[in-house]
Amino acid sequence: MIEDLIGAGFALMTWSNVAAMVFGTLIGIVIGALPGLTTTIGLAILIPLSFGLSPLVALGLMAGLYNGSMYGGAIPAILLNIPGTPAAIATTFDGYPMTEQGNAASALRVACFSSAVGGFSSALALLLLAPPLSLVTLAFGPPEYFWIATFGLVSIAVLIGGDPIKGMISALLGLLISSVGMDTVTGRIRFSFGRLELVDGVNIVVVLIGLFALPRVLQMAEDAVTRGVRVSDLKIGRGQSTPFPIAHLIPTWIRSSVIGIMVGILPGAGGNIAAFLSYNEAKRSDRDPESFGKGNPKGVAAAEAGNSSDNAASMIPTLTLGVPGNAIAALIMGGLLVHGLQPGPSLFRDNGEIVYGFVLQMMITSVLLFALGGMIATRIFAQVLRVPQVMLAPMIVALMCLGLYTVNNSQFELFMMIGFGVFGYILMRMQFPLPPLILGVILGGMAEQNLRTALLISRGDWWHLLASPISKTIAGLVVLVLLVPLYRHVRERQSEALKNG
Amino acid sequence: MKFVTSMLTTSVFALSSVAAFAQSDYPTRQIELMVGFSAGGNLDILARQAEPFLEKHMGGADIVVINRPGAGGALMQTQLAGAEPDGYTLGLLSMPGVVTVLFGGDVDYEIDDFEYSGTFTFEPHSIMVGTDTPYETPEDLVAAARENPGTITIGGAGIGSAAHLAVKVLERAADVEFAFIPSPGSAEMQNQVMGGHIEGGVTTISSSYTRHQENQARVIGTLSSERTTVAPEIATFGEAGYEVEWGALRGIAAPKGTPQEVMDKITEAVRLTMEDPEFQEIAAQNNMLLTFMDGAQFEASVRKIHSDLEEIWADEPWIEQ
Repeated sequence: MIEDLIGAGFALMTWSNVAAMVFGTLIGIVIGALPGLTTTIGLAILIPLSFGLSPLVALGLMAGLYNGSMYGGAIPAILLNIPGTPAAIATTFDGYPMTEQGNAASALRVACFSSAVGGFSSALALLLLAPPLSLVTLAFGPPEYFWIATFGLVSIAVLIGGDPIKGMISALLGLLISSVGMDTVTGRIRFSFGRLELVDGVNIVVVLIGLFALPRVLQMAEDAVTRGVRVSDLKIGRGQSTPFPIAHLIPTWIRSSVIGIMVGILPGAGGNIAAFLSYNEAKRSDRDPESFGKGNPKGVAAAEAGNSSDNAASMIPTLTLGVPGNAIAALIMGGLLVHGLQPGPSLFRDNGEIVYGFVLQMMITSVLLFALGGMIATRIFAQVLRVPQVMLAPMIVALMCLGLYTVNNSQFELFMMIGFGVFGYILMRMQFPLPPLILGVILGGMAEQNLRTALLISRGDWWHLLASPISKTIAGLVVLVLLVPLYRHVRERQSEALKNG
Repeated sequence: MKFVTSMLTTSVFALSSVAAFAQSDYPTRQIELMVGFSAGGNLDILARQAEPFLEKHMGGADIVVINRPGAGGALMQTQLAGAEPDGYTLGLLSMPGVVTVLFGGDVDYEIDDFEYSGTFTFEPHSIMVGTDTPYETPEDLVAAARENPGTITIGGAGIGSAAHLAVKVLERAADVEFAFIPSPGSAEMQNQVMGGHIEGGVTTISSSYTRHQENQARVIGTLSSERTTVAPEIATFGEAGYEVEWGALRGIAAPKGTPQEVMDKITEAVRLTMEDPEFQEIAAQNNMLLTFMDGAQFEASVRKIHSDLEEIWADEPWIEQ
């Protein structure tokens, strides 16, 4: 492990790798700052385009984009009260009031420092937790993997968005897509419609790009047409900004980082949940909770440290078990797959240098935010808000198609990507959450394969599924998560009854 | 429809006569070498490492490697079978995958659709077992399977894969029965063996031998008659008296009807590449087991495996129809 870590450290000290991290972080900040462009769409475009690069360069770009965009989202949140990414919603609560009070510069500085601290502590958690966990995961056999995959599916379906029913339907659609292709347990080919392109199943990268990039682009184009191009002059208040003593934020950072890391490790939630939870916790534990929402720098710090400390931590289950907990983790997993890197215990064993390299990149790119997210830079980044969205949309589509075609030289996949894009757009308009669908595609095959393998090994004995303590624990968690909507329902009933009675 | 077909046939004839006319100074333009798997896989690495040497030994030809992944290589092989037989579209085939996909699937090419050129590597499959299992030798495993038929769990990539058919071939050679546990790929199988979830598994010797050296698993033998140069201390099932010869044989093929003169040039380039000390050095670094066969030997090997599998299929088809 130490050898791999040192090897990876040296491997990163080449011009191309340093450039990848700097460039990735810069694009990340820009993408995060542009409302409409999010971390997911950025990664969905980048992954196929990075195909021709060496794995470490590609992963450096991805790590930079991830950390950069989580901070970038704060820029319009603070300046314009428009969150650049969903994860930056909580940043608007105190960030925009600070701008109104003429403290925009101070708010941006707090956001930048908090993002960097959150990202760094998260990467540290990844570095310390993932390698030992990857050794333990050999104890995970087919029954354990079946439960883990089920847990991931259930969590994301139930916990994301307001409507668990729509979440479940979305996850089930994902399961349906995952059943296309060769059934490895019988050798039979399912739903391939005689196309050899579908024998291996639907390419996960195609689904990722189609579902996460195209619907957003269509939405952007639609907004540009229906609402027109917004031209707003951007001014960042100079001079009057009162500098805030950064040291006062340390307790907030520690609390938010712990929350963010835990949210990251558990499947289902992403940066936006981490930000909300840490914001609420910061407010609750403060001596003066009334000052939150009125321009308290601690509110900005809690939200930004929270959403960034979820980043690297969400890679822990992805890298060690091959189970992504949210959409961004699924995209990074797609990025690894494009480079022939199979997440799971073998990743740390066979590609130690690359995987430790990625962990270090997550760490370095969060520190890079100090340098690249500084005031002058932020002033420049804020200018990207002037780029009319109507121009961005076609550019993004061109990049997507170009990138995807280079991966497998397949026209069929291009059409499939557009098909998934249109499908995703319809689902989005009908308020169906898309992340459960994509996890359904990834985890559905995993759940099915492992369930059937477990039964083959046990020769049809279903109790084998609950034989080990690990299986029992995860199965218990699945049941708990499934009870959440019921619990919510009962609580709502009670509070209604209280109101009425 | 008939009209279209005859039009196509005529044009193919016309084109092949053009090719025949130009073949003496072959190659005059870029040659596409197709690989049926994604970039970064074993076959892709072989193609990209051999490419500059093939160029050099074909008198400075221009060769480009193109990945056409899908359906376990069948997508590329179908394209190759339908390509112009002029020597400018070649494919790097991997046996036994070229043949295994023909059984029980939707694949519509045949082994007769290709002209075979030289091979680069033959890498036998091997059986690895968990370190806490009692099996030390091929005989141990076979004896245990004879005692408890159909209970010893042996894993490998899915039903109909090379690994699965390796188990079938061994079962028939030793007249025993294992419980085959299909997994999505070799990496997952290795994790299951190392974690003690299954007793053993089948994969090529270079990947299993790495686990053996790390003491994470034990390789008890290769499915071949001769020992390999990368793992000379590993016994063979052939030595133990079980006649099996099962492994990954990789070589170049062209569409049927490619002129003999062109095929000879390609085969000669493969032969010279294999003799090139520089290429041998690269191959050694990558644990490649170099084995040169000419076109006739390669074709004979393909036909032998195909007829063996046909025999097994007739007896016990492994995919339910």
